[in-house]
Amino acid sequence: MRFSIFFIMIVCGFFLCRTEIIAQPLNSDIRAQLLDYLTGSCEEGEEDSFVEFVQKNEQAVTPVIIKFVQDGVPKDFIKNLEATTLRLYADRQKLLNEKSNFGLSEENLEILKKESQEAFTKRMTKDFRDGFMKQTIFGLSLLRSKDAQDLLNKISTDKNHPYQRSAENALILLKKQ
Amino acid sequence: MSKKINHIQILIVLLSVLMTTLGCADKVRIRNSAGEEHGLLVDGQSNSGHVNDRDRVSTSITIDVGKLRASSSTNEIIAFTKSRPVAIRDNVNWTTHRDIEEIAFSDKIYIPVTVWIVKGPYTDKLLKAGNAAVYTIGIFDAENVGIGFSEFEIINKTSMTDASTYYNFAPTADPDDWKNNVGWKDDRINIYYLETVSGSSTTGRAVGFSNFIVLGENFGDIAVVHEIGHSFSARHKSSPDFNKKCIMWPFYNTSDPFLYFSEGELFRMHVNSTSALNSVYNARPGLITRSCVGNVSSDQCVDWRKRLWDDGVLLAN
Repeated sequence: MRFSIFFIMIVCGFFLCRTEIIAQPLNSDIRAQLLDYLTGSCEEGEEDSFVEFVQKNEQAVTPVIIKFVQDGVPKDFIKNLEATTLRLYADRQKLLNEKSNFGLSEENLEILKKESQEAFTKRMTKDFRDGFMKQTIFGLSLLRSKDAQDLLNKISTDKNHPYQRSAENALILLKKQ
Repeated sequence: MSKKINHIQILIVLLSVLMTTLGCADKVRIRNSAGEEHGLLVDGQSNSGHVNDRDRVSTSITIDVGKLRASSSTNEIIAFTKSRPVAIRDNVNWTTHRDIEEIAFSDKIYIPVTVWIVKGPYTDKLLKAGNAAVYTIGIFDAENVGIGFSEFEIINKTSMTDASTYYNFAPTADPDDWKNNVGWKDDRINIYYLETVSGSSTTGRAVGFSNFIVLGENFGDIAVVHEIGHSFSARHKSSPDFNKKCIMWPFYNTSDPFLYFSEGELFRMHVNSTSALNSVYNARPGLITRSCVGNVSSDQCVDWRKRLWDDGVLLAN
């Protein structure tokens, strides 16, 4: 009798755990979605915003965000950056040569045309990396875990940290809310 | 002998019926074709009932649209082509005879835009804004938007007094503070390059789908077209009808470039009375305006998912 009850409890426990596992999206999916948000530009004010995504998946994204903040931009993202910037430069130069209805002043058009591929790549790579890191730190500010808050506070007071200002801004925004 | 005559008579009757049904199809003639491919959506009445947005794509200037007569609902022609705005003709007088109805495209619309650079370095932001102008025009031209920039003015406000007060646009921020203190031009879309929007440097927002756009300092240059789309009343799109390459997808990934607007969205961008094209620029004076905001479709409002041409892996529907 006792064995039967024990057996039933084990079976029920197994199914409950399984339901829990199925109900939670896989961590790899969450990581991929998070990367989409961190490596691109997002929209604020409608559904599907970065803030909503992080808050909805807080448990799953917390370790990933903390790791990104500590380790910096993931290597696979850096690897893609070079190809992306080269393509963007080629696209822009092609458009500049083919079309004329951009509305830009002659002076500004010249500045664009004169920007070399090297200068463009350097500028865009920095833009993407900064975007990634600042967005990750912003994500950190949305997390409630002690580890996340401690890390944010540490960066905000470290004057030598390249993204100290982003952490400071995030804290100011948090206080306002 | 009489059996042979009967066969011939039947053949003649069948041919007559065939000529009546196929030979008398109505046609739409493009009055001012630029020699590019045209796409049509046609409303009217067919033998099987009301026709809403019967689609045709052709390089010909006279396009067969099937047999139509007057419907008690909508009778109209909507046309799309390269480098011209969407054309709409309503109250088309479809008859029971063979009709040839004409539609003409307006000239490409040129609009001014002003960019206010609040957070520097100015040269970097000038290059970002310049990129945005170039990529936007590239997408507009490829996607038959029919809009160009008459002016893409870039104003340096980085050295204004208290510039840093306006670096961050919080969720509850009042656009009037930026309009009154940084600058504003009523007759156009105004884009502000700041530091953050709602705390994020890669976020952008067309506040209230208006002509007031704020961008974080790392907002993607190619994604500016998305915010301008919002100013033209376009809303976010999601799967399964759309994918990441849709310009109105909620986020942009640098390694997966934006590619398309659906024709349903293009229609809205031009005809919605709330679109900046009509409400700010008055760029379509005297032309039809409607209220097809959001994901509604009806006889008056083309389905927002409608695409006349393939969009990458998503096929015309």
